[in-house]
Amino acid sequence: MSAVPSKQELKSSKRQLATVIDLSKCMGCQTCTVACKNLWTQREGTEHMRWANVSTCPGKGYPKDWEQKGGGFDGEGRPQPGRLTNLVDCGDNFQFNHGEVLGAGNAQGKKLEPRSARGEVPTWGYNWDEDQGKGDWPNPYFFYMPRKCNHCSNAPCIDACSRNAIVKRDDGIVVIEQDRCEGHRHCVEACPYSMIYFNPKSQKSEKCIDCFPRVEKGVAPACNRQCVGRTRAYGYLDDPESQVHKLVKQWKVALPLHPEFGTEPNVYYVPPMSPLAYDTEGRLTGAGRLPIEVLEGYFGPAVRGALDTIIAERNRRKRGEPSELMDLLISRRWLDRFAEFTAEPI
Amino acid sequence: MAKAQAKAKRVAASNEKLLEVDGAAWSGSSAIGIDLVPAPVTMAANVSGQMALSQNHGKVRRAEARLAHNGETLSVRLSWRDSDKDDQIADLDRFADGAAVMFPLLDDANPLTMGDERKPVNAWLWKADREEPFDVIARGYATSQRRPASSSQLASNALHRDGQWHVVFQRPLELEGGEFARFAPGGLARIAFAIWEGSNAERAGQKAISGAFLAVELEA
Repeated sequence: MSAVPSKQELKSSKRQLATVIDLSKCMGCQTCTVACKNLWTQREGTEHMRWANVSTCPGKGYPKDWEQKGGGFDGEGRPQPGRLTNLVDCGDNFQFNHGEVLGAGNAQGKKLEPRSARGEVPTWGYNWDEDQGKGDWPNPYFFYMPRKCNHCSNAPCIDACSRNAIVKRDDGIVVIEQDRCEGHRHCVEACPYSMIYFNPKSQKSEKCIDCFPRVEKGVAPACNRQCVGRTRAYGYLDDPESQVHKLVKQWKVALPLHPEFGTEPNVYYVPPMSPLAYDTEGRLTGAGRLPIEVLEGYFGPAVRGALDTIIAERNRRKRGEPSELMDLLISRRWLDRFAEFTAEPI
Repeated sequence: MAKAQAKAKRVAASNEKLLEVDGAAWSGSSAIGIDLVPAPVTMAANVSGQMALSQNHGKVRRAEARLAHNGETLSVRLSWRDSDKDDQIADLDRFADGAAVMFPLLDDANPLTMGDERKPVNAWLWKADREEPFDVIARGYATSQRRPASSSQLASNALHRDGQWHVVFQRPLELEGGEFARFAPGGLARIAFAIWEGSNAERAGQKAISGAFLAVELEA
């Protein structure tokens, strides 16, 4: 390797680890968020970071308005300009006047009041628009969107780093080498998913490391393993025995989020099935509440085929016939979801 | 030997006095006007496609440099107009002001690329939010390495007053070992300048630069 490695060298890997998340099952409980927060972002300077997070779709998301921030690549593979996020966009770090209310005998007279990172009355925060969604009575709709770094195969952060501090490991996990990072934040601008965060204390950028110290010991990442809803699968995409392979490659029911960003992300989503819509008399109709166009906006045109497959397999099961896909999505033994990454964390 | 374009006066002042930004030690030195231009970031597209998209960097177009030595250390005093004092990173989208002076380790190193594999450059980097400057070695884009100030006994001092930054860098003329620029009374120093305007999100290659190395004669 020459003194300055090429971006292609930095972006290549022998294999690719991937996560699949079933959005029909995610209930927005934030256990993944908390599992990650407890492990990785309790250090000073990381208060605003949620490497794993869940927001409501449609909605402004986390960080706020991330889908409009730019970055990624255009159809010709050219990098697109992106903007930086700020502390408030990133969910802020509210402080409460606990001392004033609880410590000074004011419990009857004063109430708890949050203050934003800027010392102001907050007008935005993590999950500020939770469960709002869209749609009119009697058919409002929303679904939850759990996210983390996509460990992209065509990672724009690697292209963007003038320090060559970002590399893809042989297992496909993308990491920011902290001793090379100088906090210039071109990666933050370039990531169209806004999953890189600047640490103002260390003055370096950080992001999800896919729990690689766990993965190296055969333990699935905390967000995946701690999910109480059995929504998540983890493993190598090229392992034909892994659920991720079966759901992404074989059944083609798990799709990347915003494939048009051109980064080839490696978190895949089983699109949410729609509850049935009501008519104005309160009677169930045959139509779904979630407009297919909305889902296409997130997952591209392939979402139609994926949902058709899921519905067809569900109908098979309803008729009492076997369905491998339904068995996969149910996962009666939860450890089946994690391929070879089933070791206990402790 | 190339012709000197400017002079570093030999003064009797102590290192401490020369580190005083507005000290009397600087009263006799003449100012060198430095024109700055936006650094050509498109040249660096292969090391940062995102940085290469930058269009509005290089806000500071004019600076003033003064150089002096006392036989022991070389001091470089840089002044420029900047009404926005950015001396801390108060939010995730904020950047600090900065300035650097750069010297070739071999005379014909390329200042625009910060040298290359065979012809490294040495720079002194001041960041408004940092206690100490960095001593930098670079062999072209994406290779710069920040070394602690102690590695070369590099010192700096800065003052923001009346809408202007004044920064003094100071380092021993001679150093044992290591990849550092070396200076001698009666000799020639080649020096280039860079300034980052924090409020304009300038960092890394997004900066204003002086371009070619200026040849400065150190008074014997």
